[in-house]
Amino acid sequence: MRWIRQPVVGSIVITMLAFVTPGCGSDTQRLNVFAAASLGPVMADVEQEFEAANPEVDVVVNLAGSSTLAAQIVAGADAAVFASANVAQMDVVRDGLGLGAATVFATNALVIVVAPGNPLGIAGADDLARPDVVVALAAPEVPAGDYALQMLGRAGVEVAPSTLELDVRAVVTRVALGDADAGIAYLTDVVGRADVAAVPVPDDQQVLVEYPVLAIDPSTGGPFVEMLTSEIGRAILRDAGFGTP
Amino acid sequence: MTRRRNVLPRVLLVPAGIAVALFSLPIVALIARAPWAELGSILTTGDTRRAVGLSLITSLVTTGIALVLGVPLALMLARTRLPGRRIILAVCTLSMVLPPVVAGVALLSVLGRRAPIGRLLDDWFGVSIPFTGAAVVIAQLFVAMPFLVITLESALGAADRGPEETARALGARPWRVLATVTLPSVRSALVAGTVLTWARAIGEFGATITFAGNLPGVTRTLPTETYLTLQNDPDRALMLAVIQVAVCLGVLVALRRRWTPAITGGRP
Repeated sequence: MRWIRQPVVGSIVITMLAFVTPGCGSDTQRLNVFAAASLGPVMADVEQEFEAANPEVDVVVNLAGSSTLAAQIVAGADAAVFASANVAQMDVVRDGLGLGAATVFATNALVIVVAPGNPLGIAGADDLARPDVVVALAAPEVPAGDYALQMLGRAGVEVAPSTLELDVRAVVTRVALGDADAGIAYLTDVVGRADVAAVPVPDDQQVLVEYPVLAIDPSTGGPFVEMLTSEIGRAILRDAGFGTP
Repeated sequence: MTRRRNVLPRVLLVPAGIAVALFSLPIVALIARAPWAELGSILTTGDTRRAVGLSLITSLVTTGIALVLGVPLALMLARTRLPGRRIILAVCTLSMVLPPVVAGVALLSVLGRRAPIGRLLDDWFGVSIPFTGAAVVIAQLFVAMPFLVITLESALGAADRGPEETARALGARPWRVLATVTLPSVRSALVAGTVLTWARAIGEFGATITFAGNLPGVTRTLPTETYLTLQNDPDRALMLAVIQVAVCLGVLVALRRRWTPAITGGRP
């Protein structure tokens, strides 16, 4: 029931924060950044850099699924910046508030997730159709599952998955625990993990995954977007496994 | 018929009314918001039928197994001097307070393909539990059976043991005492516990998705179908929720007709 509950919980939390955080002093300016959950580690680092450069600003990052955030913003949540994991949810906000174009600041790629050392010798999408390979995919209803289907379509492979997980992290967990032999996830989901390995997907099968960002409030959010798209932000993104356009 | 005197303080109406509102308003709102015009098309899609069918079958199998395992467990806990019986009761009902997702992880830690028992099953029989209908039933059992055990155990604890001892003293064999004295004395608790277990099983979501996964017709139960549908078709999800409420109410009403005399001892 995430769809129903979270906007409510989110707005309660935001309202409470509004009462609690001005303790930093009346000259501190609050900057609410609404970011897709997968951007969490990146946003924490950019927040640090931004606050170091702008001591008068207190950045508050609100992480959730892009569709939840978009619904909150359209409903009137006080967001200065929206960083979405897909173009569709950014369009929801742009259409809802009548805003201009967003900037693509990061890209992601799909990988085939396998056990460390790739014991089954999975070399590409073709191997996902092997009868001895237990495959976990994200459900087509969530973005990662939709991308995975596009990728398999380009590869011309018919896969019979054993499970369609509700989010992409659960796909990685299935492989990490060993209940699935392989899955399809984002590169950033496996960067830095020792309990899974990644098999790259060739360019002709790859799917373009774009992350757009928009300053909903240009005067306060603009500088944050500038930092995110600057060389500082790009270096942080690359460390986390994202591509930068 | 004589008029009964009111024995309750009237002010209790206020909290009782709030409680009724808490339970009824969300259901009423759900029914009001659901797109009834689409009911026909939603009911006839294969996805809905598969999910409803799987939910009914797995929850009924779960309830059956819960009776076979849970009634003996409750009897053992209530009628023997088992050492550590309080601890056993606590352990066997612990899953009621676990977040269901954690319950799913716990099951994976035992029955997953690389977990201690799961690995043996895989090595010896080539059987893998996760991603199967069996996993759905195990997940439901884990979170739902405690409702039967705890209801029955407390009723057995409160029941008068005199008739059992008398029957035994008069020469009745243990099986006969059980069937003709003990179980009939706790019949309403048995029915209530069974219904609670079934209701918890058919609504199970967190442990199922974590342990069993999600595949249409195999492990995608009605709650999982509803959750996924919420991602991109909230209207259909609301209708699915209404269908779930209707299925559960239907079964409960059918049971009530059948069991009302048992529960109320003949009172209407």
